[in-house]
Amino acid sequence: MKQYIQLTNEEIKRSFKLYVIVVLVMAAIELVSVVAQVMLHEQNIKNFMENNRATLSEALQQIGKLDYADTTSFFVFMTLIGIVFVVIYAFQIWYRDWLGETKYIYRLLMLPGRRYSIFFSKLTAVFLVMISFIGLQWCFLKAGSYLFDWSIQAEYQKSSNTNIFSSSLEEFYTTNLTNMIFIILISTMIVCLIFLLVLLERSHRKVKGLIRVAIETTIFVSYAFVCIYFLDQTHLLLSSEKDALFIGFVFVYMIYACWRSLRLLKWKISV
Amino acid sequence: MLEVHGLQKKYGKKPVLQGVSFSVPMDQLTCLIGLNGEGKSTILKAIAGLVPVNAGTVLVDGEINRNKIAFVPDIQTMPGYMTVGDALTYMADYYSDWNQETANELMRIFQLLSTDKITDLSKGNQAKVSLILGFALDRPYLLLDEPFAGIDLFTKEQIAGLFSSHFMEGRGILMTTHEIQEIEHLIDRVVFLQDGRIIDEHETEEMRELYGKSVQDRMREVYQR
Repeated sequence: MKQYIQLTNEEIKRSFKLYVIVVLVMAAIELVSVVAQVMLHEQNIKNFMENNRATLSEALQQIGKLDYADTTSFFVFMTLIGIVFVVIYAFQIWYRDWLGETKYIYRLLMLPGRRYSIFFSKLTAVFLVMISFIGLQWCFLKAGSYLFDWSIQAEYQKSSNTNIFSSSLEEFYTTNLTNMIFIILISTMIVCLIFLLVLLERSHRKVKGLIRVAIETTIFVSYAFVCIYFLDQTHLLLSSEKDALFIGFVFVYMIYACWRSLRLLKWKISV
Repeated sequence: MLEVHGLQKKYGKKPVLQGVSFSVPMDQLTCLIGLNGEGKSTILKAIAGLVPVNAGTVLVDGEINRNKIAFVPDIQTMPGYMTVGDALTYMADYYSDWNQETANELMRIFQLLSTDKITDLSKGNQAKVSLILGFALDRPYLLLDEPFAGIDLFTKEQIAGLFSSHFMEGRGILMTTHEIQEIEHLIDRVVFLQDGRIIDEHETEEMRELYGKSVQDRMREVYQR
């Protein structure tokens, strides 16, 4: 356990600078985009009034008032970048040990004790990055809404709108606990799949490695298809039972991916 | 004694090791000799458990126990951001058999500073750091992969000095190197490897008597055939 905690700490330390930079850039772009869109909206209204010799109420009627959800398009974009970042990190956290400026994989594989702590420390590091991204995005969304209220003139703002999410953001930032658990579980399952693919490639290398990766990807896609098809077609279960079954399916795959990865790490992996 | 029995290893369909067997006695420096690509590094990695083998076993004092072996690869293995001090702390954190006194003594001998970032060091100093990380583990068997590769004469002499010092006591060392000439007087035992097989294995003195040649000349004779 001590080794697992130390290794997790080590993994986080190694990526911390990059992580902080990405988060700061994301926050800056998102918050600046809110103010910029408010200013752009005001400018559009002023231009309309000037060009058409219209009053403010006419301009607002024509162009429309602004609410916070209208200014969050960059949050969706940044969320997608965050997802891509996590996926890249899930690959990079392994490959940097083989292909980086030093070959840290030697040190990891030579550590005393069992190798599962290497796997779970990396999984934990990616998981923490993923969860913190989601949490920070929540904070940035809330901060963005304060910034919006501060920067917009009252007459330009749609009143009595408490929703801070645009419809596309609601896909990622659901307020429903079950949906949140789904998102986190599915994301973790995909990270486990990526880990398994990397370890297959690193264990078998070259053409054989790529064939194994293709087979494993096919197994995953088939499994996902069968599970989704089953849940979609069955009418015997209640919605809550389907949710529980879905969570069960995700857990089964995660356990399978971890089990295979740990076997590869123990028996097949090479430096 | 460290015993290697029938190691076999294939990379794809190409056999690299074809039933390699030899032993590394305690308190001796055994040198594994072979041309490039003969499988010397693969043998060390296989003994250290870093490369899975197709067949064969490695016994340490009669049992399978890798915790009695330390391996010093020919490349830097600590994360790039670490200083020498960080690397020593890392080892102390993870290894119960880490000997800080040995590490401090070697740091003094090699005149390294704990604040130096490892990746900023010269190749020779990086090799010294790797050796400290190996020698400061209280393990009876030490594997050294090309410890003299690409480093200057003075550093070579400093490193070679370790093999005639008290750091050798209670250790069996298996080393691969092409730089035989500088350390020939320190080698107790030689193992010649060719085409993934052991073709000759002798105590150095025994070999000199048998062939009337130095290790270097015997090496030349074996590989020029």
